[in-house]
Amino acid sequence: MKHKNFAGSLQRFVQGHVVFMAFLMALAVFCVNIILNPRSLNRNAFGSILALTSLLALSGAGQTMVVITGSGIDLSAGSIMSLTAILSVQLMNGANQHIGLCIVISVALGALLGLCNGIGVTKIKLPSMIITYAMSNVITRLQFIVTEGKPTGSAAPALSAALSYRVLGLFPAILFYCVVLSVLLFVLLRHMKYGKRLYLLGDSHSVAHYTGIANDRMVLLTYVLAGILYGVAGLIGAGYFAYVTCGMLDVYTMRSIVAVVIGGAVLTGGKGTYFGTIAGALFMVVLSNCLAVLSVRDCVQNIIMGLVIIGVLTLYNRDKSVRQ
Amino acid sequence: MFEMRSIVKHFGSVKALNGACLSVKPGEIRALLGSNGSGKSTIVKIMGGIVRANAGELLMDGVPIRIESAADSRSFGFAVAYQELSLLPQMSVIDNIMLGHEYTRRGGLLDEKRRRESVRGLLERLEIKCSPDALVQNISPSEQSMVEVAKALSREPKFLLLDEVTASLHHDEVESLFRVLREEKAKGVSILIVTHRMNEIYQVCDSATIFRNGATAAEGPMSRFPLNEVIYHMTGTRVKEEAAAAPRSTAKGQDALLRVEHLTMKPKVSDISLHVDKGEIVGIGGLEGQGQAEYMKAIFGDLTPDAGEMWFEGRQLRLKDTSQAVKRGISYISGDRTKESVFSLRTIEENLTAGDAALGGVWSWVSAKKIRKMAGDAVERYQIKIGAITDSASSLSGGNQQKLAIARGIAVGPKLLLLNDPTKGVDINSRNEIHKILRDSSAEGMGVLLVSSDTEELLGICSRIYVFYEGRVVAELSGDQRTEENIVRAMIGGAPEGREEAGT
Repeated sequence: MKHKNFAGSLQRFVQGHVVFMAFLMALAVFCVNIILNPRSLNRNAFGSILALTSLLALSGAGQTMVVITGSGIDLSAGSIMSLTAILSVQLMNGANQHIGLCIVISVALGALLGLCNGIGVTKIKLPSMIITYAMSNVITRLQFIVTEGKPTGSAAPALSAALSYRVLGLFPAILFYCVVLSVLLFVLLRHMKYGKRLYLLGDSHSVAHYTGIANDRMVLLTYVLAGILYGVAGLIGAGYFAYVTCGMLDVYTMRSIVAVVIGGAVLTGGKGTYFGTIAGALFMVVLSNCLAVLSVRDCVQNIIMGLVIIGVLTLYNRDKSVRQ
Repeated sequence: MFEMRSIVKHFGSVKALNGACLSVKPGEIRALLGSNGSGKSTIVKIMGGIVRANAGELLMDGVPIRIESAADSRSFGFAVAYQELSLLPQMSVIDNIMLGHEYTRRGGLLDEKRRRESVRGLLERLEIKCSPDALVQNISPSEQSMVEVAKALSREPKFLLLDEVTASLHHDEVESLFRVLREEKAKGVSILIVTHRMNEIYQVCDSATIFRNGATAAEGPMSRFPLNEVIYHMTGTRVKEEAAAAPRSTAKGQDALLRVEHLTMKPKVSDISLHVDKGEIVGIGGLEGQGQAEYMKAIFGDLTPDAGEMWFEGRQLRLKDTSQAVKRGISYISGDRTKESVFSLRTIEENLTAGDAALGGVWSWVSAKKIRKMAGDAVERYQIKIGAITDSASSLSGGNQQKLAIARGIAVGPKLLLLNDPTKGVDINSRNEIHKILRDSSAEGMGVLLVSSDTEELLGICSRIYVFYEGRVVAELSGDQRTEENIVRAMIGGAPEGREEAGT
């Protein structure tokens, strides 16, 4: 009985402090990592964890908003990132003169593709999984058509420098873009009517409708904003990695979804924060870094990642209290 | 005999039950009374095995028992008809009633004939007129409630628990239900009824248990509890002999706030005109499902009418979306908490300020301080019983959730408030408070259009009452014509005495 109570109160604590728990778990995994391989405690490894977390967090920004709407998940996140990354690299072609144009294109293209997703969900009333999956297929194939499968060019040196520069030799510059974005998103979700409406309609589309919230317009807007965020994340990814292959950033679709969920968002909508997503991203990057440091084979790595994620989500599993 | 002693249950920081006691004897019909949030539904759910008590004893004929699941509850002979119904809308009546205890033949195949016979017998006994093969989503709300009762009865329970099932029943349905209850009682079944309709209690109940704030306030034979006594135990204060203020029309002449002309929406609404003046509370009466809900939703821009015109503040009203209605100053609140009025995951604060969030530009700034103050004021003004303002709305009792929804609607200061059966399942006290809120707001110039299935409510606060029957207005009652008899007669399709043409 006592044991049961302890497990119960642990679960209640975990459920009440999801974001904190995600940070705590990341820290725990990092400590394990250091104990197993003390050499991994160096500036370089630390900096690369921060950089990869930032990139994952950037790609998770749009995903977080889409998940909060309760209209589903966005399976086109990674493919939009790949597309803008490839186009940018091709356009910049190792020179600085087109950076401005690349930013405009990434934003516009992201917005356009997000708009397509949004129209599919709100006007054609397709399940978001279907429309975004179809879109991601189209977008991925487009990359092959545009590049004939062999992307050329590399990111502008100025852009790469602006992203991979290490402040004090430790903090990668990409981290600061992530911080700026998280402040923007915090303001958007917490202090603007947009955010208030997003959480309300995510909780219940029908109650929101009778409260006078224009659900369709909100969802459409959310997909467009998410598209822009993916587009920018793709550009940043291009700058960070400097060289890009077709579909290289596609993995960010699943990773961003997992980061969002580990960060405490509910896939049925109405719950979740961007800080949670950042915490989820950090946990995932630290975990995969730890497995890489231990030189575990790729396939085993994936199995362990999967098991850990299932374990974490089991702890989170919300036991809804029945009332009325 | 079944007994519950010192039951305690809390949901988060809200204590739903705090030392409640309850007992039922064989062959007894007992009423369980109490305000909303006093723990009635919770104790019924404990008996049904849906909720587990944090502390307390359950005794069956003096022997302690444990009910840990719905299956346990059934094995002890309990059957529950729930307020929010436990029916599956996309399955047929027969499948719903037989769900979980189907008659089978050898090899596990369904014994279709026996199933059909047994369900048909039940429907006949309760005088439910729907076909056993009809899908539950296609039958009327009152028939659904009756099917819920039939489902509970089909288990041939020793203990039959009815949690506010009469709330949406028509008069004759209540009669046949009571006849069946008396038959069951004669067989020795123990019956527990939760209801807010006081007159019903005196008709069938032998004894009563009254809850207040999660504990048993009084208990004994029905004869010991005249109405005043019931209200005293429910509230803890004596009723002041305050005559219900006769509704006065504060309308100022011809300035119609809303005028609807010949609104038609097949098949539910045919050619209904009405008007609401500034500062007036207008009622729409009728049995449930006579087109009232559709009519309200058409005014709110949720449904598009086939024909007809609407004028609001002298300008034509053509709405494409509910958000446009809210922008023009029209709010809508309904008694359907889960689907239409309460954001259950969000906090009490967010619920109270949702109306404000829906107005204004998407990118406009929301001040946390202003929101907190707005929500705090509303909680105080409408006396909503809460734990903390940051608790989720689902932590509140049904009646308090309803107050929350109404507070949200009024908080944005609408010019016209559309209310669709807002006090359904709300106790007398909260209902009176809600009525006072409506009177005060209308005195300040707000127009109110109120759909209610409760005649008393309509007479209590409406200066004019339209009665709907099969998608038409059969009576418009004002002044001396506003009598209970006239409303009830019109509700079943009869014209009122001193007949006056509707819709003038």
